[in-house]
Amino acid sequence: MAETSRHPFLQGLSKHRGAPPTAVVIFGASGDLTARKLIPAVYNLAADNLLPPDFHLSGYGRKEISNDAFRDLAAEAIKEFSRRELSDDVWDRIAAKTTYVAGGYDDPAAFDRLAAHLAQIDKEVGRDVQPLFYMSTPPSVFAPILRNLGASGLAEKHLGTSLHAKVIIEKPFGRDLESALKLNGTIREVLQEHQVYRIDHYLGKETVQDLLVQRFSNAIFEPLWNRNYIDNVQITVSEEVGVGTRGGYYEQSGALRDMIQNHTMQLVALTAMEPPVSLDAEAIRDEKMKLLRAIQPLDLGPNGDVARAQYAAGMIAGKPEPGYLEEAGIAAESSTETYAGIRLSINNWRWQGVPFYLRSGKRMARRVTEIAVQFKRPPGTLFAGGAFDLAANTLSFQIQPDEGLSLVLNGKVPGLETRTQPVKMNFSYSTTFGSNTPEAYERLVLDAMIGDGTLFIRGDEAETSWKLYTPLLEAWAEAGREGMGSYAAGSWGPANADELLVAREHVWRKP
Amino acid sequence: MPGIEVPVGEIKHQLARMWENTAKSGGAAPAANSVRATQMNFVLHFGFATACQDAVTQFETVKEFAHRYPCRVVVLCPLKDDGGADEIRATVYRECFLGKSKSDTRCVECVMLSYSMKSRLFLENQVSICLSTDLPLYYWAHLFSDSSRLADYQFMLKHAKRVMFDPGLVPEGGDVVSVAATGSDPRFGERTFTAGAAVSGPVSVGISAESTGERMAGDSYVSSCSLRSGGAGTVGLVEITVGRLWGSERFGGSRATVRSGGK
Ligand SMILES: NC(=O)c1ccc[n+]([C@@H]2O[C@H](COP(=O)([O-])OP(=O)(O)OC[C@H]3O[C@@H](n4cnc5c(N)ncnc54)[C@H](OP(=O)(O)O)[C@@H]3O)[C@@H](O)[C@H]2O)c1
Repeated sequence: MAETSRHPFLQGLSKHRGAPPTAVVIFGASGDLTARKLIPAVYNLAADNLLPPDFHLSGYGRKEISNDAFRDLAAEAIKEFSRRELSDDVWDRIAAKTTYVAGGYDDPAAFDRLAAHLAQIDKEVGRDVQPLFYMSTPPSVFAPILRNLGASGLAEKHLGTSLHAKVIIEKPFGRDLESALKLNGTIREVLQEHQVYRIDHYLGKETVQDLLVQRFSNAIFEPLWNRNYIDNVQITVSEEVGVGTRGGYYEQSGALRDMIQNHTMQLVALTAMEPPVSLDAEAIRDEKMKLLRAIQPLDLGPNGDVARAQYAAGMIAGKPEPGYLEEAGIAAESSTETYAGIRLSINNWRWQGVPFYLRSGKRMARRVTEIAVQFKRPPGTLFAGGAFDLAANTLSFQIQPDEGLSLVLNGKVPGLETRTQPVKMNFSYSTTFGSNTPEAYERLVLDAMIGDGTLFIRGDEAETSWKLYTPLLEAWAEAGREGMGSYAAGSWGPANADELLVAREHVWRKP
Repeated sequence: MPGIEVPVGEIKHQLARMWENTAKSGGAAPAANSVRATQMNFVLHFGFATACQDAVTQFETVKEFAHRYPCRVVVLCPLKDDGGADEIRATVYRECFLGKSKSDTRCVECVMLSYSMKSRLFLENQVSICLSTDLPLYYWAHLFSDSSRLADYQFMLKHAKRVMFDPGLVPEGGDVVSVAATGSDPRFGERTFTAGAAVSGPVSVGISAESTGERMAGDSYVSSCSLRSGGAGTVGLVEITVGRLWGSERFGGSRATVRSGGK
C-alpha cells in the first residue's frame, strides 16, 4: 500500500497501524492450529492495539458449535497458548464480535449462509468490511472451499477496492509438482494472485526477517557475500520431537515434504538472493524466484546430492526413545524418511561452486533452526598452531530457539605467546530486545490484513521448489527402503548424510 | 559433587533459573550475560577406576582451570552399579570467581552427566548439546581402567582440540594415542595417529610426539604435547594437540617431548 494512498491521519505511522475493518473467517476453526496459533495471534494483535475497531472473527466448520461455545474454546486457547495472559479487557472486545458458522466445506448452501453472515457484518459496521478467509483445514478440502468461495461470490467480494477478499492458505501447498500445479489452477479459477497468501510461517519469524535486515542494511556483509569469500552454507532445521500421535499424517509426508521443500527453501532463497530493488513484495519475490531458478537439478545417483534416513532407537534428554518403525501408526516396512540431507548447487555468478547443505530431521539432538555461513580460511597462517588453531569465520543466524546471531572470529589468547583461539561474538534477541516478541502468526495475519504479501509465497515459487524436488520424491518412492540410512534418535543425523560433505572436506555443524 | 539434579532435557532451563533465583534472592550473582564466560568447552571424563574422593579432587582441578580459562565444563561419570539402567542423569552447577574488581568477576557453568553402561553409546549426543557451539573442545579422560574403552567416545577424540590423558590411562609401555584412536574412521584418524605421530611410552615416564612426512588434507595428527604440572614431581595433565590438516602440508620432523617429574 503506497504511503500516499493512506488516510492523512495515518501518514508517517507504521503500515501495521490502521488495518482496515476486517472480518476474519477461519475454516476448520475447531482444529489444532486455530487453538494453538490463530486465536492467540488475534488476541495478541488486539492487546497491541493493532486490530481495527471493526474487527470480526468467525469460525467455520462442520461441527455444530454455538457462538458461545466457540468463544469459550477461544478463551481456553488463549489461556493455554498465548504469550500473554488472558486479560478480560482485551478479550471482551474480541469476544463481542466473535461468531461461528456451521457448515460443510462442499456445501454451497452453507457458503451462502456464510455470505449472508458477512453481509450482515458489513451492514452493522455501516461500511465495507474486508473479508479475510483463513484455510486451516487439512489440504484435502482446500479445493472445495476455494470453489465454494467462488460460487458464493465471496471470492470476488469488494474486488477492485483495497478491501477485496483475501485468502490465506496453510501448508502443505501440494505434495508434488502435479498437485501444486493443480491447486494453483483451482486458485486461479476463483482468485487473482494478489488475493492469495500462501503461508510459510517461517517467514513470519523475527529472525528470518532479520536475515534481510542484516544482509541489506549492513555494508560489511554484501562485499563478502559471494563465492570469493564464502566456503559453504549449512541450513539446519532439526526437531527433537518424533512423530508423536501424528504418525499417520507423517507417513504421507516425510522430512523432504514437511520441511525441506518449503521452509528450508525459503531460507535458502532469502540467504542467497540478490538485493531487491525495493522492499516491495513483488520485488523480493522476483529475486527469490531468480535464485530458485538458478538451483541445479539434483544428482540422484550414488554419491549424489541427497541422503535420507529414519531414526532408530536412541536417547533424547537422557531417556531411551524408540525408533521410527516402532512408533504408533507407522508401517513396519515404512519408507518415509524422517531425515533428509541435500546438497544444492546454485549456478549463478554469485554462488557458483559454493555448496548449500540443507538438512532436516525429527528426533535429532536438539531443536534448532540455523543458517550458518562459513567463510573461507585465510590463505596462509602467520601464527603458531597453524591452520588448526584458526577456525573458519562463521556467521550463524539462529532462527529458533535462542534467536540471534553469532560470528566466530579468531582472537589472541591473553599471554606472552601469540596463540590464537576461536572466539564468538553474540547478539541475542532476548537479551537485547526482551523475550516477548510477536509470534510468526501475528505478523502474518496482520500482513494479510493490510495486504502485504512480502512474507508469503507466490504461486510460482511453490511450483519451482516442487519442480526441483519432485524427481527426488519419485526416485525415493520407487526405491522403497533401498538406500534408506539410519541414525540414533537424539543424534545429529545419519552417516550417509555426512558423505554429502566429504568431497569438499566439510562437516556438519552441531549447533 | 555439588549442584542440583535435573532431567537432561531441563539442563538449559535449570541453569537459567539458577541465575534468576540468585539474583532474586539478592545474592551476589551479577548480571548473567556480562559474566557468564565461555572461552572453550571442557569435558572431564571419569573412567570406572575413579574413586569418589579422587573425582572430587579432579573436579576441583577443573574448577581451577575454569577460573583461569572460563569454560563450559561437562563432567562425565559412569554409574558403577547401574542395575542395567538405560538413562543419563544430569546435575547442574555454577560458580562465580570474584576478581579484584566487580568487573573482573567470571562465572562458569558445569553440567555433570551420569550415564549407565547401556547409555554410553548415546553419550556423545547428549554431550554435544551441553557444549557451546563453535568453541574449541578440551577433553580430559581420567583414570580409564582400560584405555581401549575410549574407543566408544570417538566424538570427543576426533573433535577435541586438545585431548588430555593422565597417568592412570596409559598402560605400561602403551601407546596412548594409537590406543585412543582405535576404531576411528580412517579418514580422520587411524592412519595418522599410529603412523604419523606415534606417542609412545607410559606417560608417567615420558611422552613424545614426532611427526614427519607428508600428510593429506583431512588427516589428523598430533601437533604438540605439553605439560601442566600438578605439583612437585607429579604429572597433572598432559596435553596433546590433535590437529587436522586443511590442505596438504609438509612436516619437517617436528618433535615435542614431555617428561614427568616436575615443571
Ligand atoms: N497444527 C499445526 O501446528 C499446524 C502447523 C502448520 C501447518 N498446519 C496446517 O494447518 C492446517 C490445519 O491444521 P490443524 O492441525 O488445525 O488440522 P486439524 O485439527 O486436523 O483440522 C482442522 C479442522 O478441519 C476440519 N477437518 C479435519 N479433518 C477433515 C477432513 N478430513 N475433511 C474435512 N475437514 C476436516 C475439522 O473441523 P470440522 O470437523 O469442524 O470441519 C478440524 O477441526 C493443515 O493444513 C495443516 O497442515 C498445522
